[in-house]
Amino acid sequence: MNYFEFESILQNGCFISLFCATLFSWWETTFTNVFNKKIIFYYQKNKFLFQSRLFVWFSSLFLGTILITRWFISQHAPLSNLYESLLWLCWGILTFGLLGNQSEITHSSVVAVISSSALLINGFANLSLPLSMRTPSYLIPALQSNWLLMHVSVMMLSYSCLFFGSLVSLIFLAVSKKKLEISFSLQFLNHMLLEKEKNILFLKTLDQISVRSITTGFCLLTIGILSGAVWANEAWGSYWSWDPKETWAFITWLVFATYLHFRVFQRWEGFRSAILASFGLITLWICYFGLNWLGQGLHTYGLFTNKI
Amino acid sequence: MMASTASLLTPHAAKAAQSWLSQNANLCTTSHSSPQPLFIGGSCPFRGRASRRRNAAIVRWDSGGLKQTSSSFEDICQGCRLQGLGFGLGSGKGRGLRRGPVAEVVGGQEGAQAGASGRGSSNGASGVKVANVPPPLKIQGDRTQNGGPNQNGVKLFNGEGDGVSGSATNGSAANVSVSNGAPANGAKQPLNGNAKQAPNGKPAALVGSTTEPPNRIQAPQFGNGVLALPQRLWRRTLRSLSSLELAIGTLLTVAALSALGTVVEQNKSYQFYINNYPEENPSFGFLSWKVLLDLELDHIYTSWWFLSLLAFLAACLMACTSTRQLPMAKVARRWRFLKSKAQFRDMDIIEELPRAKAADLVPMLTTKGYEVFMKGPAVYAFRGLAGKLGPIGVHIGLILTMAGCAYSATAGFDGSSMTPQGQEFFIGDILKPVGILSRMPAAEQYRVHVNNFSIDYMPNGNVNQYYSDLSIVDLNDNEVYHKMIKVNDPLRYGGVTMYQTDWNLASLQARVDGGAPFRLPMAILDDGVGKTGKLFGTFLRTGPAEEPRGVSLVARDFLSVAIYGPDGNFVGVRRPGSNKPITVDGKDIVIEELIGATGMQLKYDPGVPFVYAGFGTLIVTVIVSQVSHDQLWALEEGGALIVGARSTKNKQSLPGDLDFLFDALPEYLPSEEEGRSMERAASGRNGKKASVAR
Repeated sequence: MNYFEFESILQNGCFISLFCATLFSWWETTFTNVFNKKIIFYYQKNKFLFQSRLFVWFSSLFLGTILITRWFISQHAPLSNLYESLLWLCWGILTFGLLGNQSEITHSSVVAVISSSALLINGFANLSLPLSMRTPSYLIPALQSNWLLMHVSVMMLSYSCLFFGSLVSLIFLAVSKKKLEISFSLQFLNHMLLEKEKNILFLKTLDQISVRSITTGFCLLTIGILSGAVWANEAWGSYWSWDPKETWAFITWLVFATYLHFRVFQRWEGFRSAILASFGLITLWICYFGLNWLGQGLHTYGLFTNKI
Repeated sequence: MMASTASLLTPHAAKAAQSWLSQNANLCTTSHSSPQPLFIGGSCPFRGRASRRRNAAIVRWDSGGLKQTSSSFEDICQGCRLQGLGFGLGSGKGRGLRRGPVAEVVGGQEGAQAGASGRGSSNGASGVKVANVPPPLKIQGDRTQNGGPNQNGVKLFNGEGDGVSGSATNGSAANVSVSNGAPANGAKQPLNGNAKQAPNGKPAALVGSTTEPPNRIQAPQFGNGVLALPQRLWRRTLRSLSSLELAIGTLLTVAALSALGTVVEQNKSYQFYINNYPEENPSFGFLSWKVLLDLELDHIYTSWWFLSLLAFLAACLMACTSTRQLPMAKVARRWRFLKSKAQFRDMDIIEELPRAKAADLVPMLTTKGYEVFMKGPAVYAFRGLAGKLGPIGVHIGLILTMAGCAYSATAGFDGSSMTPQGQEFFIGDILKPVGILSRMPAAEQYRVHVNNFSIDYMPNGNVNQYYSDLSIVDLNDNEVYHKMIKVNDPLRYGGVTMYQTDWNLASLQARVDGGAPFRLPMAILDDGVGKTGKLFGTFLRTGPAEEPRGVSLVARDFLSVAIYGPDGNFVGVRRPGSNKPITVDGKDIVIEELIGATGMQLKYDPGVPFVYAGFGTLIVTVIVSQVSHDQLWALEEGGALIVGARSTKNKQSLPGDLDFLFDALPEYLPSEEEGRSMERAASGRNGKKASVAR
């Protein structure tokens, strides 16, 4: 079996696993009204059916294996173009989503969101990008540096954390509108709470998850931007050249700095900070993804090759 | 500030003031070097600095004493206010008169009443009853001088005053009490403890300060002398610049304008804008090329308004750091005890534990890494102070980075060169100044000689890496330095850095019909944007001079040359150096070699060390800011222990952690006699209950 066959097995496995994770977590989220005795009974009899978290772990494992084999085959860190960075983003969202989601209360909603977004990203990467981008290839001279691993990986991890935090804020916004019922995780059945307490606990936990992952993402984003600046100085002699990607990373940094400041100083916890985080999500997405379609600047390794 | 002078205060009032000061002075920070009286515009009486307040009071100060005309204000500086300090603790949102002695002491009779009513019950005494005032604190050494107090130690305050402060109760008008022992040098400096009036009515020597400027209380203005007005303007500017909303607004404006710069193409030619933003059909109805160029939208990032906005942001940052964060840092290391149950609010967790004792908390907290302070029934503990100080470091890192960038932009040199193999250039010729402070480095006199330029290929023919072999040669033709550079591996000499950034094919050497070799310069046909590489071409004349008839030689890299005949048809491909002739238009052409040119970027940037220092600071402090600052207060009151806790980053795990703590706290059951008296009280006088007879 050559590399391509191996990789396609892994990719398919990952996709299927993500698909199952999405399905099961959506089902869990929709049907876990705690006070429905039939569901509780069914759950207690068939616990193995309600482990969407497990499928997310599987996908994360598949993706990790794909990335590692790519690393071996191409002999450089798998971060050279849009396809590979999308894979990293997927992996990061899944892993950080699981790690950051320790609370029993919210985990089925969180898993629902991260598995569906990872499914979409993975699907796009594998189905819509051209084959030339998907095959592992050589690095262009400008990327042949140890900085590649340091800068780009930290940026991708920070994007994952920020993306995850902003997604959780979106859940917060959706749920706090009071039109959607809170769906507690089935694992949380033992805790009998009043409806109102349930709401508050759920929202508070979401808020905390979101702020912690955004804070981690912010630290990583700072390190990523600064390491990028140092690399640029070593490679091209200028640590900041207002390249679109650099500029948008800076804007993302500013938006999330605003988020942190308002949380601390204006005490904007809860609904208002979720709005800010959603705004940050839009900025983040433009920064990471939207700019590849612009086609200009030093960072367009994705769709068009660079000049040197 | 209060002092002594009988001209301003009645003895009664002075006593009240002193006692209040003496018990509360430890709350605020050190060295109130020139505490100011309240006046219009307000300043913190403890810190003599401009204060920020929400509901400012108009306070008038005349020779009879302070007359207060409004009752809701909180005229303390931001540092104290943010810590909830000052006169009453807690985050009093304009809760009436929570002022210090100055406010209470409204000359003469009214003073007593105002003192009694306004002060609230926090010390249980009105301004008049001096005797009830608990004695002031004794501090074991000045905290600021201690360096590191033992991290897990407990500071106990035994509540004894030092001898001097007892004079507060003496009733003499002229007293200035040294309320908190140990000033900086560790020796007590009692000011005149006798009834003699201090010559200039020195205010209380509070912690740390031993020399006070002359009393300025009489003058209802900020200060004396020429500097009064500029000082006042400066403080007002500083105050308005340190507004968070302003800073965030500027930040977001910078963000929006930067985003604009990614949408409008930057640094393109004049013609580009004329073509793409036509006057006849302007974008959005108004954005034609004229408007665009007038507004400097073609170089947003170097336009004057963008740079001023950045400078303004830097100013806001500096103001915020100095007026808010630095005071907050000083204050955060202090202790603050809560004195009554009512003050426990605005916290993440507040619990009441019946029949528990504060002293039990102490060892438990210290094992968890808290730094604990205890005074009587009150306990204050904190840990993770780094988390409070981290953001200051972040701001400082940002300021350092911006300063470095500004320095680079005004004092650097820049330039690029495209030098064919075998040629050289003067460094001083290539470097061009970037700003007004640029001083040409000493390396300008050296020449860079390009010995060789080569390309490394990958198995599939793509370029792997570019190499330039360079020698630095001085004026006497001695080689002083030699290096082979490639992308990501520049040459550094004398502060000047040379980066491999580009390359060209400069010329082609060929022989026609076995004649002497000659070189033809090559030109770029296509600079490769959007395609996989550049294209160079040259023209070899094969016909007579009058006819423009010849052979086109086209090459992408050093590997091969494509030959096209006079009619434009493809004839063949040759590898340079293969010595294999090709016959075109009746001539045998041998392509001998392709000579490359190396494109380099030269830079001299004196601001880089500062920028890197700023980067390093930022990275470290951003991580340190994630440390959670946890605070815990406890107070034994009414037979129960009230515990309040607050955390900046650990809000989720705080309940769990504290539950663990609370469960471990012993509960002291009432003793037999207490139990009996409780029962007796409960059952009335009948004594029906079976109590043990005495």
